[in-house]
Amino acid sequence: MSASFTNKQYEYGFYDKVKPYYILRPGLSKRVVEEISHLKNEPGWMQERRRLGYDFFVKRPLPNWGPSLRALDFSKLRYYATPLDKTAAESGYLPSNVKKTFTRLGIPPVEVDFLTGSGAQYDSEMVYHALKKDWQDRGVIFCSMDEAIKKHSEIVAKYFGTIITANDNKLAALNTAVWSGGSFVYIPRNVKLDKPLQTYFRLNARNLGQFERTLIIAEEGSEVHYVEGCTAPVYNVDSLHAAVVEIIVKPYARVRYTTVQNWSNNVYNLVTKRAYVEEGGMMEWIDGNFGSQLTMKYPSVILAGHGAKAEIMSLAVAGASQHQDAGSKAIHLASDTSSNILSKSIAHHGGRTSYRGLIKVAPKAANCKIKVKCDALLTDNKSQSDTYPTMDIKNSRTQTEHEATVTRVGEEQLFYLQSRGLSESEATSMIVSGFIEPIARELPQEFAIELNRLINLEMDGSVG
Amino acid sequence: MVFLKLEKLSVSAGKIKILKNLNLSLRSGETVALVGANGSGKSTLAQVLMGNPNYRVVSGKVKFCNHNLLKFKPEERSQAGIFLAWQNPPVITGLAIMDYLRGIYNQQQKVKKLPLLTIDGFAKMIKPLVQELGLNRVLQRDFNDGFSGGEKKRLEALQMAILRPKLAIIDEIDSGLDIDSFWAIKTLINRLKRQGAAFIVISHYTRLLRSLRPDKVLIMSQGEIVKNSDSTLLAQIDQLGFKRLLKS
Repeated sequence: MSASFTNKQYEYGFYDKVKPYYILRPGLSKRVVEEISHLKNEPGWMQERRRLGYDFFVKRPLPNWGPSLRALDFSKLRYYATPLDKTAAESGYLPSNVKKTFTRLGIPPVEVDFLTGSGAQYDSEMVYHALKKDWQDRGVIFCSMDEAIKKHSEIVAKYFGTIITANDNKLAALNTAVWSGGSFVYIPRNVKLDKPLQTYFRLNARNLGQFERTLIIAEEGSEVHYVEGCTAPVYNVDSLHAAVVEIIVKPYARVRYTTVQNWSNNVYNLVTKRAYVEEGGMMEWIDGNFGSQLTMKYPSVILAGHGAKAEIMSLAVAGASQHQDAGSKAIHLASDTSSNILSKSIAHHGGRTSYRGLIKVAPKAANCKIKVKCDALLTDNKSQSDTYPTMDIKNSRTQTEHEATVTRVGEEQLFYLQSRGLSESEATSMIVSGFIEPIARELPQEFAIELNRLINLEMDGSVG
Repeated sequence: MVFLKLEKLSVSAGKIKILKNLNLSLRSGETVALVGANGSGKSTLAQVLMGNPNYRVVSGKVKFCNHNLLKFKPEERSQAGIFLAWQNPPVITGLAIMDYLRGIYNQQQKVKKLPLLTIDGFAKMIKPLVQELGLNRVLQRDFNDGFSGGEKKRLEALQMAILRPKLAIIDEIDSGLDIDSFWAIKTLINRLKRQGAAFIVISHYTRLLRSLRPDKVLIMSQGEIVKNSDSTLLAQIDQLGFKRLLKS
């Protein structure tokens, strides 16, 4: 509890002096898009998809709702960088600096017994992916999206861009045009992974955009828990993280997707995540957002099959000059579907958190159950929080519960806790830890520990 | 050694002087009853001794165990052995009571360089106290969240018992208590007294005060200590009330 860091320090802010094997000049054009595709030696359908994405990106305006993105200069960003040359990539060789970075960040190798598989992305490319052999033998696929395009082209082509189309939104269009890296996960029928697959994303090169693309397909009756973590160095120029995550949950399958992101505060984090759930399936998003200068992220679930379920839990922490605009969407298309949304946010040192949520119930979807709870905690008078819930319910036989609270850590509360022997920052940490506990307990243990550690770091000296 | 000594203590809130020229000295293990009408400054004095930042000490001194207490932060005062049972403790949503109680206990152990307790060890240690104060039902909740007046007071008493202070200032712990709570708290205070704790007891009623047999009884009025006597004063207060007593 008595860490000596201040909130301004971001301990993952170091950068590696890795000379990229290949880095694109800044700026975006049709040629840049073609160049990325060419570098990857992609099949024609993917080249075509990228071209489509680029056209939509150019045509579409910036979102006219929510926080302004006008300061984000797409022409100053670089859209591709890799530390690996081709042969290195193929032989599984990692430059020693890259290897050191992952060790320093505490990324576990696949050999540890609490994981089924482990992967890591450095800038634009996945630098390794490993899956335990017994799961490989049972037909599980866990590899980089680039590799999947080559080795599992048929299945990727069938699902890629079906849940989030090239024209879904401006950032998804951009991702479609310039995507690189990300994971492809395929779980065959009735296969249940008892331990998570984990991927780590590291953004190293200056003013680089990271545009990973993840696709998860869980066949009927299967189960998987996918975990991702992200960090980046501190530079004085902006970076962009614009990922797309598509998930297909077949009948009676179950997918849990856990994210703990801790970006440095020069990163724009604009991510589109959506799952499509068939009959009796279950999708759980658990989303922890720290850092970044602006995050806009609304994990969504389309409940398409009878009795499908969605659980969405999100936690957003915003400090000085940070804005976390996070929330969730649940689209009920079938009867007897349910969604349970819990959103918690903490604003400190003048930070801002917003909850933005959408619930839709189609006219034919009867007996849907919806529960939305959003709680905001403000640790001082400079910080702020706001809520933008939208409910569009077209079936009268819908059961809804909605609850929103805003709590400010008051001077009186702090003095009270101090009068019991706790310092201001310990007192704040204690209040905050209690506040996030319902989400922390859903995280894998090492992430929960990391979360508590981050909270204690962020809260240190947060008052006065 | 000086245990607690207030010398010509004057305090203001904003521009208003609310405590004037207070003198008080207390020996280790002594009990003082602090009485007076509403708004006479009793609770303010309690908050000032604990270090509430909303009050400014204009002049005077406070010594505690030979230290200049006014230089200590609130948490340092707690760590030095002062405890304030609040008249109106706040509700703290999100703060799980058991985590909190273990947190303040372990913090004190850490300061004293004594071993820390695990979740299980701590639960075991406080079990008899929890039962004595009838708090079993509410410990799974957030701090004071949905508590009755009596439950809040009992939770204050529990914290006092856990921290075992050298000096406990108890601010109207007996108001709004049902009979069972009253007895439980009274028994606890007497036990801590026997174990050597000093008390400053603030109350509107003489019932708790009489049962504690205070060494001194002070009456406050308009921010001043206007009467300083022994426990025989309590009977007079009951007979006459503050107004008539102070006129006589």
